[in-house]
Amino acid sequence: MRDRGLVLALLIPGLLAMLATFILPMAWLLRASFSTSTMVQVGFTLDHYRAALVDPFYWKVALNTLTLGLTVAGVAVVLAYPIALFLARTTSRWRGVLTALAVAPLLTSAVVRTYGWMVILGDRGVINGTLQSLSIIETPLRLSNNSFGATVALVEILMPYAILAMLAGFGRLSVQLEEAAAMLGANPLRVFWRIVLPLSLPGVLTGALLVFVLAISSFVTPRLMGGGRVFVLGTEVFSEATVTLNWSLAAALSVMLLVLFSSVIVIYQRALRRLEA
Amino acid sequence: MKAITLTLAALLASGGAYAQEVNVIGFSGVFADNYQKFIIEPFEAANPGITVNYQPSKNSAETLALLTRQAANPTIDVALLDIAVAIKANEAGLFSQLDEAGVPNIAQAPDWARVDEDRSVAFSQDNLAILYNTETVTEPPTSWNDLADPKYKGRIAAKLGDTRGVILIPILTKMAGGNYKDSIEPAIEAMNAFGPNVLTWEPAPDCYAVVQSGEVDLSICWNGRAQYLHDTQGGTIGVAAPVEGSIGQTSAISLVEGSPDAEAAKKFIDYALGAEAQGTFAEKSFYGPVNTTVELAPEVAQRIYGGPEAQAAQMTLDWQWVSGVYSQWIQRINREVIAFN
Repeated sequence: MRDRGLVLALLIPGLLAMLATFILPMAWLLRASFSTSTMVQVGFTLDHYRAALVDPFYWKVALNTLTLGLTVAGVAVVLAYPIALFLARTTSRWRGVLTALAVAPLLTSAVVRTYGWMVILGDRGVINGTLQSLSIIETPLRLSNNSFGATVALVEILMPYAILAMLAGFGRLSVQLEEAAAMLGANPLRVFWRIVLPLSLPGVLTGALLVFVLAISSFVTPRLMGGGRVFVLGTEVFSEATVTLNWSLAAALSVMLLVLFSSVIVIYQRALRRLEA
Repeated sequence: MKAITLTLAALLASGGAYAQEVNVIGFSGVFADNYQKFIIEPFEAANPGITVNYQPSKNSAETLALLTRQAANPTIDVALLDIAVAIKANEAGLFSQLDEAGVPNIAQAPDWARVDEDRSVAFSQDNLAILYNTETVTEPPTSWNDLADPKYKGRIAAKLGDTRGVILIPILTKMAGGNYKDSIEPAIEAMNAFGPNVLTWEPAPDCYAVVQSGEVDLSICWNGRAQYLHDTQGGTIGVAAPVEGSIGQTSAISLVEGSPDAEAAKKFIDYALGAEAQGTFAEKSFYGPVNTTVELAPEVAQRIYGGPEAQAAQMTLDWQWVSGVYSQWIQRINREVIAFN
């Protein structure tokens, strides 16, 4: 009983911080989404939800967001998997350094890295500059200011998260199991397919989920790398809140984004648990 | 005797009981520097008992958020806002009505500048212009139509999903012989005519830097800051004021409802709306004045509005009306122009 009291006492500071920084703003957001005014919280109306739901443009934007999230998650996981696998298995004394290197990009803000990608992929950027000076192309390739640029930048920016999540999820990988399979006559491909991949799957799926969630909620990178052409829910919420000053609609869109994607996460985690069981 | 009176006034002012303070919130950057130097400092010199504190805000939306939050108990007396945002603020009842008794200089503002029954009064207009890179563009554009010239393919930055687009619509509509209150179809069409030339609708970090760096040849952006950058950054940025004329991004001054020191605040607003303040500000920062009695030197007028033809074609908007369609216009630009180009 005393233990329980202690646990509660220890939880209180954290819970209070959550209440102030997360739960209260969320409640405020929910309240604002039902407001009859676009700015202050008065009255009650479902108009903002109705406006968003009957507007085909927002459906398209939601679809864009989903596509971007899935693409980025897929590519990031494929690229991050070999790195994570190597880091998990290596016995090199440089392992710590290599792991730190793999997640080092997180030390720089996503905005700064987005600007980096603008320099690399721009019309007069590193790639186009090189190709043009080698006379391989005449006019610059359109590598940024579109959804391609946004996808490339998001993949790179979010890869360290995928690597970290996978490393954490690779706990069940074991060299002994691989050796046993090899001794029983499985070739390396078969070992990978039957042993390594299934055992690493929980880590892969966690990594994919993390990247997906971060990608669909991103707005700086799609906005800057997309040249304004990439419409995702994040950019729409930003624009409703700061340009057209329709805070209630922005709130309604945020709540819908939240509901939509938290249900995706719940379903996903159920599936994940079943897989692990 | 005068010296004694002044000392006495200063003593009284510093005594606390008579010290008056006006807290102003407004735009940041060069605007803030110029406003401090050319409006606040002369005002304080003329009114030794009043201290004016200027608080720069990132953008009008943020100012509005702050004013809304403090509505019940404001610490800010005077707000400088984009006029469209000021009208939004008036819908929420954030500003007090001014009158000619308290603020005589509002009589010198034209009708269009006095919105919401003098709750907000326009004080400056920063024209929309075409900026060009003076190194890559040898023949500067002269008309808004030049934006559609195929030689600029992939060489234009056009951030039109905000007030820039809302201002460009009436300009393009008028060029097609229409009236923005009837239909903006011609403007959407004209935007789609130059749409394929646009490299980015979201220039980063802003619509000036992309011209300065040579990433684009042309950029649709504000005149005042471009003129400043022209003078301070080696003249790489040139400003073309199209002959068809332009419209200014209009800023308005308002007295916050429940202002802690309304009397001093009104004095300051009156000074800011006066011919002296607006004339100096125009000359130093190339923002067009609103006060009808301001006489601009020809070379200043040239840098604010362009040549005589452009000056004659300069337009103003019925902002009260435009604020009703503001978000609808931005939505149309996003969905019917940017999404297709």
